[in-house]
Amino acid sequence: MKSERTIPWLLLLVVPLGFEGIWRLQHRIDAQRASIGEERDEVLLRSGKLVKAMSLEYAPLLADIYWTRVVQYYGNKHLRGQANLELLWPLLDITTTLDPNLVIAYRFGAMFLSPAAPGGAGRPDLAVQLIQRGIQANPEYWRLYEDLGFVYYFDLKDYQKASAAFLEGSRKPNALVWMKIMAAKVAAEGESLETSLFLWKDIYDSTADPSVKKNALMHLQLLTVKEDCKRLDALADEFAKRFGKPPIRMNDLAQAGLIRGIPRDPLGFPYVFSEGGKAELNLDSPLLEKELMFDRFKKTLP
Amino acid sequence: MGIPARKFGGLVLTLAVNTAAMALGLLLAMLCVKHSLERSDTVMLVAVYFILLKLALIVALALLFSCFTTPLLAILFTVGLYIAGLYVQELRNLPIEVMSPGMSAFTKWLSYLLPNFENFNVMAMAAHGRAVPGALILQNTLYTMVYCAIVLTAAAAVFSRRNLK
Repeated sequence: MKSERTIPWLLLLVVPLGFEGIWRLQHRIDAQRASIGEERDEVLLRSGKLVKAMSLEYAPLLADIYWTRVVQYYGNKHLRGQANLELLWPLLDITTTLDPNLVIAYRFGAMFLSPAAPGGAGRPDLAVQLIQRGIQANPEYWRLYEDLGFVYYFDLKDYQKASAAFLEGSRKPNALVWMKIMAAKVAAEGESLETSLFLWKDIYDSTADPSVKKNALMHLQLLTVKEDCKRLDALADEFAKRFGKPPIRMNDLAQAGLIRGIPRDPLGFPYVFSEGGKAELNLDSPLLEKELMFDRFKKTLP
Repeated sequence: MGIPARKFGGLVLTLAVNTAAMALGLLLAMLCVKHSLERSDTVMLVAVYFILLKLALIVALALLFSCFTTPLLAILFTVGLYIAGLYVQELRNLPIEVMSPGMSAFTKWLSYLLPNFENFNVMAMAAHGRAVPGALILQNTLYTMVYCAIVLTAAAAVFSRRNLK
């Protein structure tokens, strides 16, 4: 009888204290596992053909599962800020071998593969291979040519091939008219801010994926910053010519009548001049962190 | 704690013997294939120990459910919790930006309330002979002990109210 009465009291004590302990322990276990997490990435079956043979008639279903795995793998790495995406290609290879008509895997797979870290795996060569494989399986789908042109334009800086890809895509059914214009423009001018802005804007408008949209928006904002800084540097040179000394503050340009008001970045933070007299992002602007992150990865990558 | 704790102890001992026998079989198979055992193979024993911890947790949950429901439902509840416990990490990785703060707090709270069976998964490390940190072994042992203590206390509380006459 005595134990019958004590057990509920014991339960009241054990449950909150126990779960408090579980909470703390789980945090430590998570930290411990995170430190060895990098080593846990594995793709045990790397042959797409073998996986297809094993999937019997369920290859498309398995392709969807592998595609989910690709997204989770990329998302997890992105979330942790890890640049090592070496399993991305084997996973995409298996996915597209299992279902060659899974267009989304080619489109977004190339976007994950092509850009340099931290945005992607920094393997535009594999991205091209993936899209070409997609084109072979889905020759009438014009968006794949757009993606191919995109990779050649931004990551490989091969403007002739980019132009050829846009032109080839423009001949496909339902292709939008700007593909032909883009082919001519890229062939004539190479990389230009206008073209870059247009391409990122198209990605931003045409995707439904929030992470791709966010990435496109960030690129659009950074391109705007780049152009703004270039314009402000030109005005600073003008100021130096007129007054024999470089401007120290943005206000100097405004007082000299070269600009109206203090120019601001896309997030509304005013631009500033560095000690060297170059226009740059304000220390408080969140875009500065993004810009520095891209610069840091550019420097560390071979 | 009484009968549930004693029953739990007996079942875990039985499972320990079974697990040890299977581990021995695995070691013999490895010996046959490789003709020798390396120091890195000891990590396999850690993986086996983690399997035993996982089984102990499952037994504790099964005992709790068997105290207040039918055997079939107890099996279903335990299997359900086991499956949920395998995906606790996914629960934490849900896109919190698209959820309300309340829902986000709830999923986080739930992820710590459910038994996390993914804690015991060191299969990839064992397969590649990579060492498992001692701290993880200790933490997983403590985790299992604390979780089992909670579940068994709840089982004892339910059991003490049952009229067995």
